[in-house]
Amino acid sequence: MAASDLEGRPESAETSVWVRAARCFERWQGGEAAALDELVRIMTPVLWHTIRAYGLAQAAAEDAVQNTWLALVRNGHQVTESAAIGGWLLTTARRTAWRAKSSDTRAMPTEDAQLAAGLPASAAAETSALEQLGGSVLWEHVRGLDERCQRLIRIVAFDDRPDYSGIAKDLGMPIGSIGPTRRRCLDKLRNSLEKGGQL
Amino acid sequence: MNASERDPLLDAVRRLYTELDPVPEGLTERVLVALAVDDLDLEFELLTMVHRSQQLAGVRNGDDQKLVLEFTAPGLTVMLRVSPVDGDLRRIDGWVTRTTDGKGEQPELTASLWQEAGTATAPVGQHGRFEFASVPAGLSRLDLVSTGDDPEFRTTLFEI
Repeated sequence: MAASDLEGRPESAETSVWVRAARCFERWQGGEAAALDELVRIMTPVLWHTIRAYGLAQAAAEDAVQNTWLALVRNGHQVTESAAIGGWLLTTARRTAWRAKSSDTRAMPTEDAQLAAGLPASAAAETSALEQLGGSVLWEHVRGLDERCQRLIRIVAFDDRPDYSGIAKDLGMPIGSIGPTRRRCLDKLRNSLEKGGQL
Repeated sequence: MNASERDPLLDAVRRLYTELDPVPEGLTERVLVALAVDDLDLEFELLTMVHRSQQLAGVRNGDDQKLVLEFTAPGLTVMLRVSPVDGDLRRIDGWVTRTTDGKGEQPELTASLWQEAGTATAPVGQHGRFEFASVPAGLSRLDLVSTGDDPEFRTTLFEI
């Protein structure tokens, strides 16, 4: 499909990440070297958040992002469908993160406190209640969830087409339970916000 | 899943993390440099960084800080201790540990440090030790090159 066919279409920002990634990958495979740079710029934020959801410290997470891209230039020929590139990158990122995480036997100092310090007290004025919700308020409620819920929610927030079987393996859960757990975690978060009078 | 069916709560969570834990400044650029300097024709096992920390050697200013880095790949781990020498120069002490059972002779390894200014090499000793007495600070990459047919290892780019 030519890029121009898609450009006029009203896409949500979310959809377009995957579509744009697929287009870049196609151009890169077609021999356009600069398309890889574009792909890196589009997908690095998604990879970052997925890897951090696995609990890697800052430096190790940066390294895992780099390794994911090195794996792409080495093994990218395995990706035969350009539409599959986003999923391939995320799966590779998750595996890299998981491997790094299980090799580091040190106890991870919690970075929660540092993270929260960077948050402004309220988000910019927007329309709905959710959008008006201040970052620090939402963070308080997200932090109240168990670790598994926090991870799962962060992963799916950045990945519209999550690979449930891979995630299930990483988080030590049966595949069939990921969907229900995801709903349960979101319900918990919503209830907690409602109870706190935030919604 | 179509974006329109997405729970708006997930979008809020996404905004939260984007704000809370943003992609580190310069990461994308480092990835692009790493890709540009990667020679694809060579086969390497990629070493993944599992740990990075600053250790305060003295009580004075940050100049006394030692940097400790640890990388791992199947069968091998490398630990680097980086200490400031003078201004922009660094000393690197490295230790290679093989995590596979040591059956018979281990092939000799050479450590090769790639930097923008050039490449330095150092032999890895009997007990896995190697050192670079004085190398410039900056973006670096370590390769462990074997004399035998064993796989060779390469780290990603890291800052020293």
